[in-house]
Parts: sequence; C-alpha cells; structure tokens
Amino acid sequence: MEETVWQAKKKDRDASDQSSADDGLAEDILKSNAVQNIMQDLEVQRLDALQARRSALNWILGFFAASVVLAIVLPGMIDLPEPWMSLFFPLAVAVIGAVVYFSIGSSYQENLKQTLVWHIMAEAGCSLSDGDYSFSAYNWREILPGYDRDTFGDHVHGDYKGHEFNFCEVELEERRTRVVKSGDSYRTETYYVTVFRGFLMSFDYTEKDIGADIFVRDNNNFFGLPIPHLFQSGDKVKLEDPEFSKIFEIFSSDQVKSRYFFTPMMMETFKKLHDWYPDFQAILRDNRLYFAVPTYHDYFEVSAPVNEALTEETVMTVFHDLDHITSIVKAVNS
Amino acid sequence: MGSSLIFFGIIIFILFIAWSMYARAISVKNKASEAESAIDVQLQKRRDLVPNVLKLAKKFMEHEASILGELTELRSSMAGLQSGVSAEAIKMDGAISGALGRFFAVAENYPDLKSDTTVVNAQDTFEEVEGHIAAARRFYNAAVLENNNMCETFPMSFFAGMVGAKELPFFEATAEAKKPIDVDDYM
Repeated sequence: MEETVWQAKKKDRDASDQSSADDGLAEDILKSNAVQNIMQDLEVQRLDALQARRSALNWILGFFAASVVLAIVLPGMIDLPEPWMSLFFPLAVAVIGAVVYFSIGSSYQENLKQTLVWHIMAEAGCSLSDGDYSFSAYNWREILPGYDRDTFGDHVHGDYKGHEFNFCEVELEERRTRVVKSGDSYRTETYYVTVFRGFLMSFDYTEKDIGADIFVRDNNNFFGLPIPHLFQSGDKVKLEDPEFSKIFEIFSSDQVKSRYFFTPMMMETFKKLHDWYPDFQAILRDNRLYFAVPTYHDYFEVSAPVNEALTEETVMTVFHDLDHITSIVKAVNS
Repeated sequence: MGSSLIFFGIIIFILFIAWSMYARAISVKNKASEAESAIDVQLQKRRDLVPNVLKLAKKFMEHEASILGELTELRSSMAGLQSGVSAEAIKMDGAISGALGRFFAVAENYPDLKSDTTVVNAQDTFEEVEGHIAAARRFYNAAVLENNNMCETFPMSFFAGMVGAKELPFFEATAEAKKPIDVDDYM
C-alpha cells in the first residue's frame, strides 16, 4: 500500500524527538484531503441532525401543549381516582420528548469516532477498536484488584519509535450482595462496585535485558503508617532515593537486576510518571512493561455537541491523548 | 490459674519476639554475604571477557603494543587470583576495567575491528557487565547498611553478636577512580 504523506513524515519524526501534537505534523494530517472530506461529511450530518432536532422540538412542544390542555380538561370529563393523575400525560410527553430530542444526533457522534478518529489514528500508525482487547489477566494480576466483571473501552495498538504498545481502557467491577427487605420478607440483591477504572498499557522495554520480574507498587499508608502489600511475590528492594521510596514499593525476584533496571535516572523517570499519573502500578516481566493507571479521563473521545461546529482545535484532543500514552513509552525507553 | 496463664502467655510472647529478632539477624547477615557474592559473580564475568578481548586485539591491533601488553599481563595475573573482594582482587578488577575500557576506545580507530560482530558483542557484554557491577555494588551497600544498623542498634545488636554478624565496610571507589577524567588521556 502506498505510503501516505503522514507515514513518510512519521519516519522523520521518529528520528527526531518531537511529539505529534507539537511539531506541526498533526496540522498536516488535519489539513489533508481525506480528513477534510470526512469533516465536511460530518458537518453535513451535523446540520441534518440539527434540523431534525428543531423539527422534532416543534412536534414535541405541540404534543406537550396538547397534553397540558388534556390534563386541565380531563378531570372534568372523567372521574379520576386522584385529580393530579392527569399530570401523567404532560409528564410522559416531556420525558419521551426529551429522549427523542437528545437521541437525534447520536448517530453523528458515533460516526465522528468511527470515521474521523479512526482515520486519524490509522494515519498515525495506530489501530483503534472498541472493546475487543484480548486481555490476559495473568500479566496484570499482581497490580489489579480482584474483580468479577470487566468492561473494555477503546483499544489502541501501535508503535512508538519501534516499541510496539497496546493501550486499553477498562473498568473492573466486583460483585457484592446485600440483603434487602421486600415487604415482609428479605431477599438477596446482587450489585457491582467499580474497583478499578482507567487504562492498561503494555509495551516492550528494549534498553537492557533485565531477565527478572520487577513489581512497582504504590506505597500506601494509613495516617502515615505503611500498609504492607501482603502476598506480593518477590523480595522487597530498598532503593536509595527517599522520595522514590515514599511513592513506590519495589519487589523483585533478583536484587541486582532490579537495581540494574532502577538506575537513578530511571527512578527520576518513574517519579515524573507519578506526577502525570498518580497511583499507577507496573510490572516488568520478560522485558515487557505492564502499566495499570487509574483515571477517569475518557481517551480518544472528541467533544462534539450537535449544536456546535466541529473545529480542528477540538479534533486535536486525539493527538493530545495519543501523546499522553506514548509519553510513557518514550519516558521509559529513553 | 488465670494469672499463671497470663504470665505463661507473656513468656511465650517474649520468646516469640526474641526468636523473630534472632531469625531477622541471621537473615540480615546472610543478605550481606549474598550481596558480596553478587559483586564477585559480576566481577568474574568481567574477568572472563579478558581472554576474548585479547584474541581480538591480537587479530586486529598488531601495532598497539601497549594495549596488547597490558591485556597479556592482566591475563597472566588473573591465573592466581582468588575469588572474593580482597585488596588484591579489587586492584586487579580496577586494572581490568581500565584496560577493557581503553581497548574499546582505541577500537574506534580500527573500522574493521569496530564493525566486527565479535567486538560488538564483546562491547555490549562489557557495558552490560559494568551496569550489573554497579547494581551489585548498590545492593551490597544497601545490605551492609542494614547489617551495620543491626549491629549498632540495641536490642538487635545483642542478636547480631549471637549469630556472629559484624560491621562491614561499604564499597568505596578507589582513589584512582575518584580522580577527574582527563580527556587528553583518550585523545
């Protein structure tokens, strides 16, 4: 397949050290014919959706007015158990009308992601899919809480300067039960509680051949008292940087190899990563790093209300999100 | 009856604490020994590089008499070297590190040598070994710190004496290694 202008320039970019959002190449791709055509198509869809909303609003207001009149005259026409029951009609019209109104335009927002965002990611050398990540719980088991249900969001697979990476949004839930009173009896109710929400990321670490498992855990404490990580495999590694040791607890099967990985510079890198992503945890296994980062940020979502035109500045959030995740790969492999 | 049970329970608790401290003292002492051994393992890896590098030097660097002579002398001296971190071993390892570093620096002037796969592998191994040696020394210093704290702090010092743990010296760079690097030595 013929190389696109972006892909050719990406090779030059990879040879330098610039991010995609800062060096003008993001603007190149935004101004390319393909992206401009997609944005124009989406703008037509948006205007159609806007027109449909206005039309629907007129109908909804008409029905609402009729239901209000009905609510006023109905008690005089038939015997209702309670007079206020006539309010059911305008209330129902309002609720149904709101659902119909806001559902108009949802296809525009879905198309925005499936066409524009997908195309931008493809031009950047990444594939974007939704919820199809083949998740191997084994690799993350030591840094994720126990869970009963998982829900995956956007999955990005790509490479950054030759380092292949996988990124996936995930929400993990734990099943719990409680006893609730139902009339004169009791019943057991099942509900789910979110125990982790954020993203998982894995990428190769190629700077050195470590050959040992290293676990990077957050150094939790309860009013200053350390909370030990029970059942953590490996021996605790005490490193020299006191600030680093306040934030992280390191466990490993090999004391020398863990220090071979955690040089003073690497400790500074992890402290910097902690500033960007507080409470993250990581595992280095078979020269591959696995990060679990709790966050409520929704990646690769473009804010596109139907009543606002889509601008290039808004679409730039895709590049900013891509830079956020590749910055981890860059920081560790530099 | 009740008070004797409480008294018995307190005795058991104290014995348990004492046993824990004794076990901890043994663990710390063994960790320091392990750390010392870890350095030795890495140093041996570096020593093992010398014969291979000497072969490469003989093959490509006939005119570099000083490097050849240094490596040949080192190889002969290593024959009778005991393992461990004795003063003689430390001095020898410093000489090995210096000689290997100079060899790779001089190799930059020989295109054939620089691109030879064996040399590239040897240089990668040398850099990896140097990294592991640095990591092993950091592990050693961490283990020695823990050991010395145990030996100097009551009540652990009592148990340290019981298991034969003694204060150990930290790894320190040699006087030569502490000198500032003069670029002219490499030009």
